[in-house]
Amino acid sequence: MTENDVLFNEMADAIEYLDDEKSIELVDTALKRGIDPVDIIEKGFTRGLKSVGDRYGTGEVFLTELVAAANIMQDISNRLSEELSKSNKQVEKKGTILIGTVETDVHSIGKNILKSLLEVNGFEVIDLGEDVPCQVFVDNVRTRTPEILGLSALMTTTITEQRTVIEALKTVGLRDSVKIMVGGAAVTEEWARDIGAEGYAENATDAVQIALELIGEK
Amino acid sequence: MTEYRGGKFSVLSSDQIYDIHMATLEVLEKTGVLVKEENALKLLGDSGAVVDYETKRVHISQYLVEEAIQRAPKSIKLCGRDPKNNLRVEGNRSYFGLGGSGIYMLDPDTYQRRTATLQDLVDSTRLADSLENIDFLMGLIIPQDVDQSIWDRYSALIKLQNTTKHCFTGALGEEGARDVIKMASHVAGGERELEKNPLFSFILCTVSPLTHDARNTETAMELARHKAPIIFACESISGGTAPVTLGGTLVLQNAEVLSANVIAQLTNPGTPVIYGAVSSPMDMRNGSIVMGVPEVALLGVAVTQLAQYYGIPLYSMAGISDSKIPDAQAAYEKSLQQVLVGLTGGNLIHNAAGMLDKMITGSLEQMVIDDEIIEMVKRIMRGIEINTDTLATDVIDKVGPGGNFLGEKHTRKHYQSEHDLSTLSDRLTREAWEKKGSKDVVQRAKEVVSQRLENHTVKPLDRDIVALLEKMVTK
Repeated sequence: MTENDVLFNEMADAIEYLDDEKSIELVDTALKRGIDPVDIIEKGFTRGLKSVGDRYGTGEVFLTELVAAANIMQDISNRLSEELSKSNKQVEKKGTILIGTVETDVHSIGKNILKSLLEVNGFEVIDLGEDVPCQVFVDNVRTRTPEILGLSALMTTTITEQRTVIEALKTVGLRDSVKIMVGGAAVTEEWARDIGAEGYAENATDAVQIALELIGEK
Repeated sequence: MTEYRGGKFSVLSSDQIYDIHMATLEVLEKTGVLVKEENALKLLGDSGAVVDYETKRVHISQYLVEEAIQRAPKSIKLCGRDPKNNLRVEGNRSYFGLGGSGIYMLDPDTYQRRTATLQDLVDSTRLADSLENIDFLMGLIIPQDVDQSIWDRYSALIKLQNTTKHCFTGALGEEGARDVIKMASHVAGGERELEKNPLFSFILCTVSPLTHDARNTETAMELARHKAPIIFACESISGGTAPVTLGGTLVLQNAEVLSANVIAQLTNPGTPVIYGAVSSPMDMRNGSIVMGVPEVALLGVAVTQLAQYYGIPLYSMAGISDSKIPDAQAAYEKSLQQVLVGLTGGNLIHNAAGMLDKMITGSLEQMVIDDEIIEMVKRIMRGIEINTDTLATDVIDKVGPGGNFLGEKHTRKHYQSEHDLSTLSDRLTREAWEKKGSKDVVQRAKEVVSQRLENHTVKPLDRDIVALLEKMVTK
């Protein structure tokens, strides 16, 4: 095992055991040694992050650990953002997914859980936040060309906005450029079918599976 | 109406209540709350709160919070169309009411759920009106077959027509609030009369953590101007939108409700505010909310004690379940919460009847079963009466050793109040039960539902008034 491999293993362990300080320390050490930032992520931290995801799947760890791991990964990416932009390699992503809670709905927690889970599973997630106007979804689909758009709505009074966004995408000719997933407490499979969404899941874990299916990974 | 009082159970000591209060004041002053409504921000700023108009963050100091608590009425009269159903909401007096705002109804034969309709709201309201132990109502479901931008007005119409008990209701924005108040005033005989005898209380939710959104705040201020009873309900998720510790959840809830009360009391001093706290934990395995858990009972008891400390009338919950069907799980989850919160004396114990599946699905059969649970809880709340007559030394002496008490006048005088005589539970011998068709409680509840819906009549509204109300939903 090379010296760098030892370091990569330490990285995987650090994130798996949710040691945020150690993780950042390891990033700094690796940068000093001149290790490529993409390798830091892919050979080091991603393995540990995936392990957290797997252990969540088997019920060994819970949501709080999962979200914490995703947050550490976010910190690591932020720390590396400058170096990453200079690197000639690219971090491999399963796909890009644009998510947000629809207009007039201020609920965020379900969406945020999904965001963490998707990140843990290797997706790039662009989160537009809550109470997102229809036009903002449309503009972002155009400019950021995600593979998947995820629309969250918690209330029976706001799910109709999901339809509005889908219809707006049709009007401007962007509907076929993106797969659409809908979710949230009030959303049902029947509703998803009605409004013509490709994906619906009752919870975040299922949503990841659906997202993987939609991009053809499963 | 028989009085039922709590004060027989607690989980917090008075020191612990004080600690929660002080922690809440710290949060309100140091962390502050987000208020996304311009008029409320200005009102708070003009009244001495520290307001950052850019970020909309408001830091509220102790004196403002406590002054607002003082301004909140300590007793609120909530009325039904029939005065015999009026509620005096104060201290440790308890009332039990429907749960609601579901979007599905459960089919009792197939246990499939289907989308709730206006007719379901009519049926559930009439059934609840007929059930003896249900003291107040809210809409069991939000009808999905009406224009969702004015469901509040449809719901108000159905309630005014189909029950003479007090109702909680929703209002969508300032206009919704005005319309629903107008509808109720037509029935009450004018806005002045309605203020004196409020037929509706309005539920407004805060957004956890620590946020008062624009629409609900605007609605609250409009309601305060009408002195309509407002329930500020914090529905945080412990571990998600509130701290995972129950103590922290209580502090966060308290901060949200007390700051909402500040806005209401600044808008119109003396606004009848009802403290609403109905948080529950998050399931760390999948992120969903869980409700039939022991923590909900603990929080229900604790929040009752807190509201009693402030003297502010309380809207709490008990009787909710994660079970999808009226089964044993539903029964034990519901009973546990009902009995504990009841014994503490939660004032307006809502969600006590009619709901399953984390408050998403309504069930008429479950409502009948819940009515039975509440009857038994009320019996426990009445406790044991001890006086010369109930200690019964005279009749013991009269019967003496070896006799029996069956034929005694003392027995005839007391048995109906001393012993619970409900009819839904099966208390027969095995043979008698078999002879009656070996039915389980859901089958028996189903029979009650059809009998009640067929036979129960609700005092109708004046035809002219109905015409006025109908105009407001079809405008």
